[in-house]
Amino acid sequence: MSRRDIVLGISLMTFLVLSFGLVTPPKALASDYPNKAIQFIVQYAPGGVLDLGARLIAAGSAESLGQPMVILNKPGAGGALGTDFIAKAKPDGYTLGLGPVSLAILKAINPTLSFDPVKDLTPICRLSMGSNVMVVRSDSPLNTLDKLIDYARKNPGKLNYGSSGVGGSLHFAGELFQREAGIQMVHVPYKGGAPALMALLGGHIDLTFNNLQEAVEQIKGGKVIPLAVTLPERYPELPQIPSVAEKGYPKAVITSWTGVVGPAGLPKPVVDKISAYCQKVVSHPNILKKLKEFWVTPAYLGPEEYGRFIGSEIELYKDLAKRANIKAE
Amino acid sequence: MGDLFANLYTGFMVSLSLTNIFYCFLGVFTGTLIGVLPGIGPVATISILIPSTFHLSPITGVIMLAGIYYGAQYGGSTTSILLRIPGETSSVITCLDGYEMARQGRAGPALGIAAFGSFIAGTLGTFGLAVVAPPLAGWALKFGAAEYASLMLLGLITATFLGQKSMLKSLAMVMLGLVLSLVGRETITGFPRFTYGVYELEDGLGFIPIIMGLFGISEVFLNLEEAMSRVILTRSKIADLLPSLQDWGRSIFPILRGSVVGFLLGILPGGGATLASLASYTMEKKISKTPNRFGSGMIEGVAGPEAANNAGAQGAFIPLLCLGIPCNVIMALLIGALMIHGVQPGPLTMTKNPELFWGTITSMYAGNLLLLILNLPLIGLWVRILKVPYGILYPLVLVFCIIGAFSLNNSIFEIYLTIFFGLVGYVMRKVDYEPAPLALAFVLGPLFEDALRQALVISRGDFRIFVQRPLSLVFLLAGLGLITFPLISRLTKRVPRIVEIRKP
Repeated sequence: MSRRDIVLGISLMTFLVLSFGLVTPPKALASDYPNKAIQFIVQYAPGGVLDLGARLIAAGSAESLGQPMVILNKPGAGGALGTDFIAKAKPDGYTLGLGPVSLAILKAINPTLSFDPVKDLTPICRLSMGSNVMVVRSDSPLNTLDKLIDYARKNPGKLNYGSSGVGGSLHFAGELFQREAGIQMVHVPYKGGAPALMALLGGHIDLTFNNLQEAVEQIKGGKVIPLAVTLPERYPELPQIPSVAEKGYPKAVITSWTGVVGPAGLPKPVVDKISAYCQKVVSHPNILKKLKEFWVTPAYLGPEEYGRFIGSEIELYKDLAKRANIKAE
Repeated sequence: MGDLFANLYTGFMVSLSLTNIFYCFLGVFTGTLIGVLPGIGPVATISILIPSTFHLSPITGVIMLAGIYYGAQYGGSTTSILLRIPGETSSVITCLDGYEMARQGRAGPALGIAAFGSFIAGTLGTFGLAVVAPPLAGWALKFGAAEYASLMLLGLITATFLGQKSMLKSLAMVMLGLVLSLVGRETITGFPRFTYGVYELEDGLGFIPIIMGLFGISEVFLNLEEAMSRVILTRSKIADLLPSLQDWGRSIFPILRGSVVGFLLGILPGGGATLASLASYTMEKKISKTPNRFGSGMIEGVAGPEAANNAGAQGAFIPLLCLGIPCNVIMALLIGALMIHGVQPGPLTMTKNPELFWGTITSMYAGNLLLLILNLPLIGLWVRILKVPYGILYPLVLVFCIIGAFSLNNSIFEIYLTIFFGLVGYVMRKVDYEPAPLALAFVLGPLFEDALRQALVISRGDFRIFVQRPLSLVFLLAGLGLITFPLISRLTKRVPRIVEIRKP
């Protein structure tokens, strides 16, 4: 009942805001916005890559937008807590936040989510995509993707793969890869990518799916062998690693993307202004250099494309969740 | 060995530069402060301060942030001893005897031995990092899920021996801690347990609200009734601020043992430092000729665990610096701070970036010395806090506890939790249940469960994995020994008594 009320309330608010938009010339709103600090919600604890990325976005806002973006970390429930906060905020453009891949995942695994990532949020723009990488220990005999798949086909359910946790993007990467390659492995969830990598190094599991950034130093140090990145093509800075697509599994491409969202019913001038600002930020040479250091690729998409992209990702994750029986209600 | 000195020279050249020494001081100073303030821990502080290191060189940034981390270990014991509020998971143990010492008017020696113990442990830890870091990193990798599960089980068994009074009551508290730790999304299937649809509960109950409530707030409630304890505190002379020669004699071996145990356990991901202080305390209690006096203000019970948690904080750097793998949240934050500069620690750090590796290690030595110099004069000040009238001190404690709880996740919910556990803690104290076993079980429980279930996934449900792996078997046998020895000794003692009763 209360959810309905909220949706109703938000629709009403949207209506009111929109009618205000009609009464007051949109130009005035656009030129007036922002006239105070913008609260930017980060659904994760400070210090992670997403938090640091948000801080990069916020860093130039005082100069370019005339008002600072203030980062507010609202971690919890796999990102649901912070996103719920965004969805329920006033759609005036002063509460925005990150729109990471977890939006799609949450929707796919949790039918009783308190917000709908499509209906209750306004997509503003996509910012970047991070790659995942499959790695094995340096002394593993399964040191190419073909050998691994071959072995896994002959020995279904024998290999153990580690991930950053159940229902995380890396778990889904593992499930997607199994579906595409037609193999069966056993999932061992860890609390984060680093412990999974440590278990791999110690020889307790056979392979892991990791964020590229988590595993890159071990790859460079020769401690682990990368089998493939989950990208449509090779990662430019690490050209020695094949991509899943070129290995014959184009549908095993999966990325950890992130973007910017606001509450539903955000006025178009606000969306356009923030979207344009973000596009400028992610194409700035300094930021490009930083993104490279985080091992993520800039991947800007405008508001409409980003909205459609989220929709298609939700479908992908729903399918994977059903296949792997991942649910969280 | 020549190499070692060359390396240490490289390191000190970096860490003793004027800028780095300054930021090191800034780090340990901030660390001490936030360690003293209940609730606001090193994780929150480091994450807030990371952006401020962007304009520094990467090594300077890491030196400062690391300083906050081990500085907080120094500061964390202060509130444990003075107010019975552990600032960190690793200083829960210090409350047991440290607070009792303070109540007996020996807050000065308790704080002093904590500072000296931490310094000695820090020195040994730094040396350990420099000499044996790479082989130990390999040792840490040997720990798979089965080894963890058995080690955590051993830790849980140990926790039931913490209580002074009744082992049955401690066991009950351990169980309650485990039950509380079940709240939230479970790791293997992601199924939410006891969350009742409340988002805030999905990640489980927070540790800070629980300890602030059970320890800090309940203590305030309790003291509202007991005017007596105040008299004890203020009557004592503040003159003896430093540990006496006799105190030193009793403490030096616990400090050395604590340092070694702490350093080794600190290397393990997860609850390393917490396990370290617990292990040291149990060890001292077992070795002691008067084990039943632990919990009533034994200086050994402060010296050992404090040394252990500080050495543990240094051990935690090994997986980061040697393998590039962060073994706790703070190490992950340090990686984040380095990534901003395009430097990421990895297995090649030692050879490719020796300034970073040796600079960080040697800065810890400098930092520990700074901490000792900083903390000794502060002891007088801290002890004087106990002279503040309760009418002023306790409202302040409440305010700090609540700010601390809120600042974790900017969440009001955590404040309610803190108050709720304050009431629970009050009732527990009234009926003589101790909160320490509960708090430790709460920390160790999820680590145990995760490891247990990971091991069983890997073994496809075969429980033999725990006895087939030698390290795991050793931990299990140690746990079994811990349980059976007291039982056997009790049984053998009881037999004659029963006979006596039957006589008349």
